[in-house]
Amino acid sequence: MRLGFIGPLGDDIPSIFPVVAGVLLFFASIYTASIRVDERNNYISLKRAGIDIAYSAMITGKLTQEEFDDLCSASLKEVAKRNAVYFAVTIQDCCLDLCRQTTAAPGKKGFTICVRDSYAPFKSRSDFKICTNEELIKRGLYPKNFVSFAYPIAIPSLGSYIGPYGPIYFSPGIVNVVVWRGKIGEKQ
Amino acid sequence: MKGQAALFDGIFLLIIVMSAVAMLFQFVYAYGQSQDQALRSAYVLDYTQSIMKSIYYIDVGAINSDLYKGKAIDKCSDLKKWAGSGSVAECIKLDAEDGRLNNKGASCGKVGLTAIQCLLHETMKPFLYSGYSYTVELRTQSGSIVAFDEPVSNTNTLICDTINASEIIAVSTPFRILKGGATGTIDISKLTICVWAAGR
Repeated sequence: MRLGFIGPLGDDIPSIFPVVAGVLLFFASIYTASIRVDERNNYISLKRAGIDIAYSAMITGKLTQEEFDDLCSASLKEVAKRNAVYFAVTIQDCCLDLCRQTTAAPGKKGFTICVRDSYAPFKSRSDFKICTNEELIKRGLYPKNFVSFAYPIAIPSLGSYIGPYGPIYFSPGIVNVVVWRGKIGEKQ
Repeated sequence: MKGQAALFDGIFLLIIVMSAVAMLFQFVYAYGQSQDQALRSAYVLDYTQSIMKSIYYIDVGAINSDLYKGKAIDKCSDLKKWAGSGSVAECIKLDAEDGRLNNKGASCGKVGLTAIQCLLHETMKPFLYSGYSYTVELRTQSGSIVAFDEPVSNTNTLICDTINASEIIAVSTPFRILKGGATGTIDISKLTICVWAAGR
């Protein structure tokens, strides 16, 4: 009978395969885990930055165009700079494009659904300017990955009656806060 | 025999590595979840605070849209005729002068309860579709509850104390109500919105 490769090295050869597999598995797992932890950290810090910016935008329960402009230059851009993020804050009329009544089939009731255009948070009410530190947004270019928040707020509308603020009255509106990292067009 | 022993060593190492990897992935899966949960709660809190601040400005007549038309809220479209008569907060205060929130008060106090019902129905929509619930309560300075003729809630919960949930987010604001008309006494009440995730 012919024996295999016997000797101090030959005896260990079969054990090399599980050892190599174990080492590869270990380092591959460490690498995957580190990527996942980085992604998670980035997401959490982005979310925190978004909440920070939103908190600054929501100091009072109302926003007029002048207040919005002052807030934009004095506060929002500074908070974004401190958190090293790009951002856009826009104001929309409340809910008009948030929830829609579906068309009902004959004899059946329709139901309300909340659907939003993915980039709706970047679109501001026509008489409100967008506040951002990334001018490309104004040209209709949007980031691929972003975190967005929406908050209710009172915004001025022109009324046909004279109220405590003149012909202006406050109606429900939405402040959209969008944050992202990386220049638009670059890898984010 | 020596070769078999070495092979067993290798397999044993592989088992140890696999256990370590399993623990590593368990850690990675849980990593950041508590921070994410804290940020989610912070968002709900900021959102609710924002509603609470905005009720001092939003005109009662501005909460009237076909969007509000539903089973129990057709009355919201009637608020339009009260345009310019005051903010939602002012209307609630006028309504609560008699110690109840019942749509019976001077001026826009006749729609105080409806105004807060309709405003919250609209502004809380994003949370309602995500499985959250809300209720509103008004307490007097002494701590007693101001009775509402109908709950300001998407459930039948009338007061925050009775909510059965593991996490409740509550935002309160001081709410000065002039009891008994212009010559009456000021009662510093407390308006509270409670939000919770249903089924948690």
